[in-house]
Amino acid sequence: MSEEKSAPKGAEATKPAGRGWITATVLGLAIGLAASLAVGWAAFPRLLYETRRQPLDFNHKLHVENAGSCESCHAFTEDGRFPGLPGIDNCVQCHADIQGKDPSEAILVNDYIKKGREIPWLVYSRQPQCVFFSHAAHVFSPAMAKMAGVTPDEGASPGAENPAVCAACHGHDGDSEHVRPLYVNRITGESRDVYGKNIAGFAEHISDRMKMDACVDCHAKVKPKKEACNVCHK
Amino acid sequence: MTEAEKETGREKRYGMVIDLDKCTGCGACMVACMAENNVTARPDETDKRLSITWMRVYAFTNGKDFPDARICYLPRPCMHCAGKGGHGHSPCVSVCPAVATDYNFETGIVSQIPTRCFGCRYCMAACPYHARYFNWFDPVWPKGLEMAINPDVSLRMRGVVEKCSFCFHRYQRAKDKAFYEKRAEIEEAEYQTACTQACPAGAIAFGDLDNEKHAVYGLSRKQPGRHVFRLLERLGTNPKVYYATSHDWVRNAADRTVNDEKAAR
Repeated sequence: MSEEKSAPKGAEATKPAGRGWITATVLGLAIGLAASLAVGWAAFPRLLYETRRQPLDFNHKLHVENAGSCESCHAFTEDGRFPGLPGIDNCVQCHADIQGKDPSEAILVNDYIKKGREIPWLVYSRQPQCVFFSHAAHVFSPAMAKMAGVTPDEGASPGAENPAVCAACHGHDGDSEHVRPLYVNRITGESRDVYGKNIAGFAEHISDRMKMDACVDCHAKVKPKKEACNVCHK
Repeated sequence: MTEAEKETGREKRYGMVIDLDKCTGCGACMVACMAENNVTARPDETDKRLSITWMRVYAFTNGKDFPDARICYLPRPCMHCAGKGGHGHSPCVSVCPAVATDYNFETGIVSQIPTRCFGCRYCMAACPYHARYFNWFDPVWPKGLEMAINPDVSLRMRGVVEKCSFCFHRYQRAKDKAFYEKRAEIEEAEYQTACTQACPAGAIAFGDLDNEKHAVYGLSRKQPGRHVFRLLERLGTNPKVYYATSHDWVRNAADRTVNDEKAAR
């Protein structure tokens, strides 16, 4: 009996020291977790991605207001290819001389238009070389129109003349007033737009992340059969 | 017509018919294929086990002496086997542990994705036509020739397997144009492989084997006085490359059995 009584006594004696040990462990873990998260979410992306600046600033909003649609500059060629960036001959049509006081305007006219050089734009959305992507297949597809909330007339599919079709994937790039820097993965050399801004891989809009699972999500819904690898890979 | 067919056209079965009587063995198809598909040539190509030739012209004889000696040249691309019943169980696809190769039911083309391949070479062992090749070395282009690299075909690295794709990138480009012009189907002339176009003798015909309007439709079917056959038909690989000849010995060579082995028909 006496032994049984002495047991709680001993426990009481060690209680304060035990609590201190638990508090210290929890605190240590919390600090360690916070530090790890800070490294993982803030420091690591900075280490992983290298920042590159565009050669000059560009106002998409202003150009859309004046030119009308995405297609005015980002046009398809007649064989159905999509070059993506417009050439300098496209810019010359309006920018033969300096307009306004923006420093980018002077760079454009003096360094590129007068010298007849193409602007070395950095491409945010470039995929690795093993990827085949057809803009024509997507832009003229009725399934894409449905996604964009565009209801085409019977028999007619939507094209790049409809900004909603472009925005379905590209988001509101057409409303931007300045260019943003390009973040390039130091290991793979690919753009951060491909991996996604969020380091944990969360994406709200389709344009937030352009990895294979983003493609598969849509293709699985739209295509009746499982797609073959070579539809998107070359 | 289903919703998907309205958009991308109906399913096709692309194939080739090679007229062995017309083939002169010049090798233009091999050269055109290498140029089109970014295959390099090493300074020393004497060891053919290390060479990469998606399209390869074989020569074989009837084994007789002078007055009766005959030679036949046989161009061999990937056969794009559909397997028994056309369910896509080609020998290579069935064994690939990495799903680096699969059967495209839209076109009937067997794909090979080099970035997915890890180089076990199981598919090479499975392929009865030796149509698959292993990259023993990284590709090196002589200075200046890298400017001629085809951007539509990805480059391969050391340690992966590659093979003929029936110039699938040309199909993709033809489809692009069709999408732009809001057509569901592409024309026969819009999608032709590089070897077909390069053949000076016109021995190679390419198209949809199921489409009556395509040249291969008639050529791949029985004709009087001519043998139309596929290589090693008894294996049941169901290839999509047909050969045509009027010579019996050429026809028999295609099903050659080992010494006294019984033909398994």
